Amino acid sequence: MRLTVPHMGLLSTAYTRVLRQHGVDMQPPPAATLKTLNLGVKHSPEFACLPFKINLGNMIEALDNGANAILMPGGYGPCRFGYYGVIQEQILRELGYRFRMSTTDNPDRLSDMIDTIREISRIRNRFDGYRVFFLILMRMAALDRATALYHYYKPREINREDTDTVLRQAVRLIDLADSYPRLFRTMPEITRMFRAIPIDKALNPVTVGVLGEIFVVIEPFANLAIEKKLGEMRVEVRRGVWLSDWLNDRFRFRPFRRNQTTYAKKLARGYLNYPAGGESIETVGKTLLFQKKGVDGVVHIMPFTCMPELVASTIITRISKDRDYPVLSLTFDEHVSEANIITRLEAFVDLLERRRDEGIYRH
Amino acid sequence: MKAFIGIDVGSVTTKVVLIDHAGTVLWHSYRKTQGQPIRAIQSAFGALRRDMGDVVIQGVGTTGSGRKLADYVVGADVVKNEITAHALSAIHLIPNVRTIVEIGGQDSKLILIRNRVVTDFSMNTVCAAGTGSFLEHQAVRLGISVEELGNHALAASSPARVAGRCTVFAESDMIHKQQMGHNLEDIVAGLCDALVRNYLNNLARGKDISAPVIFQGGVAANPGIKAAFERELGQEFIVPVHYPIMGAIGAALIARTTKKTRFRGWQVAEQQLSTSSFYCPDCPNSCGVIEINNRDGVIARWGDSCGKWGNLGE
Repeated sequence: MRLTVPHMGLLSTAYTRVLRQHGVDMQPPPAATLKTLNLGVKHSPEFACLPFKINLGNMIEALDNGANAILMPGGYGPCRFGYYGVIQEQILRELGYRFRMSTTDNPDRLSDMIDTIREISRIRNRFDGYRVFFLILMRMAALDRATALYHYYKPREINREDTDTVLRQAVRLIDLADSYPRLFRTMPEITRMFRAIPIDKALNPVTVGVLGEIFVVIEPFANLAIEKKLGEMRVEVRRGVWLSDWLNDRFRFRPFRRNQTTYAKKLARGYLNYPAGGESIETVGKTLLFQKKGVDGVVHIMPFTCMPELVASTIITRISKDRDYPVLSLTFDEHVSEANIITRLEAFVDLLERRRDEGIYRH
Repeated sequence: MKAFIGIDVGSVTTKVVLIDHAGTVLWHSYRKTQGQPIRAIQSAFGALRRDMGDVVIQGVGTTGSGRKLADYVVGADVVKNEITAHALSAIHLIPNVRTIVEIGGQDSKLILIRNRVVTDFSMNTVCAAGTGSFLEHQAVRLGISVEELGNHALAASSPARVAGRCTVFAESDMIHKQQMGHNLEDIVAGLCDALVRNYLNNLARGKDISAPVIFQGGVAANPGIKAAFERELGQEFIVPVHYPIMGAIGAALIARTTKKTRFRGWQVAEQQLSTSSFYCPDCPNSCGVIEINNRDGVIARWGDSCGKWGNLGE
């Protein structure tokens, strides 16, 4: 069995090496390119969202490369994503592919995840299953930590692309850290690498909170590398949704990090009292949090036809009015115009800079 | 004499202005880009040199969708997006302006300003209905020039109701109205109303359009559209004298803070520049990479998503 799992940000780096070491024949899809997107779009229903299309493209490319089993996170989900696996399986079968498909039944339950690992790998012992699963989670948290450092150093870098090079090296080091001790030794090393980047210490960059549907937020291919673009405009990104937080809310592997979903629910109270699916509650709650914390503005990104985020976008427009807080909503799909996105981001950053200057002059 | 240049390379037209430090327009040029932005910039600079060759250029700003290209051609000190450029020139002209309606060749913008700061903006994302290109196309179809369109609209007695959600449907609806026997004036006025409705539905939804409102961009030349806006919103739309070149003026205004200019000098009008493009074969993204060449070789490249070509060019 050659197993493939569709990409989601850096997630595949967290599990591929570890699972291989336990006997899983992993065949990760090639990194998403225009070809992936075109394949996905060609075989998807038009109004399925961008994550569906990129996932499907990933699956087709992986199957073409020799994979014969697909694991799709799903079961029930926070939005349509929950039944995507079922539809993708049907589309692939109609295209004539032969493969085994499994969908995680209940991605919120730890025992379910451990069962999945024991099913696909040589691991039989339940305790070993936990050990491996938590190592994967810790590796994901390490990848997110490196990304957060990237957000801090990118706008301050003096030589263009320095920070991107360091991030690539950091991801490589985390990939190689295949045991708990190695991972713990790697983290200080990564911090040192970022600290060594020559930066403009005097720069006090504008800060922008990036929020929205989790797939488009964490997948640079889906959002036209919006975090890099902002960094190049000398903006410090404060990302509001992280894959490791999503996992931590379910599996509590970082005991000192508060449950972000519960926290967002508390923050959103008054504007959105019930989760409306997807990351809607996080988007609303964290917009309010960023406003309170003095982050200069929020960029809200979502896939076209994403219902939960559309609900959230209407509510944060209201927050923006009530609290005089700048918010920019951007929608992504295969028809997105990069020139349009860049112009709007630049104008938004100008707006934030001007507002900040006015504030300085006034006080 | 010391002066600043602003260049606005739009989808349909290329605008070049020369201003003094106070922001007074000394010279301006407005010409069709005709798909050849480099040539349009160069011919504008040729004319600028002939007319105003003795001025000392202290700063150059570029804006518009071709702002990056313009930067490589002339050597710019600031490269700014068109929203900021339009806002700055409008604020310079009317300091208490609160709303800017800008409709150009292929895009339209709504910019809200409070206390001289942009507080909100929107831009058309999916549909070019209501922009200059569409109006021009329809004028040709009706057998009149785009300049006459507005006066025809003003002469209408009872504007026809034209569907304005989509350019294709608007066109077929206009044909239908012609076949029903509506006269030209009423159809043109109906078209203006439809475009205004389209603009307000797409860009202005939920936004507070309050006076003073400035109406700029090429389409502001059309008194029919201006009248339709004023009817729909019950507010006066101010069309500045320099309405089609406001973006270029904004770019020049921003360039006023330049300390030492990167402007390459008047020879930019004569330099031999050519562009070429190729698809990068290194990954399936197949990015279309654009190269600008002068006689000595490649001077700039862009268009790649990974940065490997763009970085070589610097």
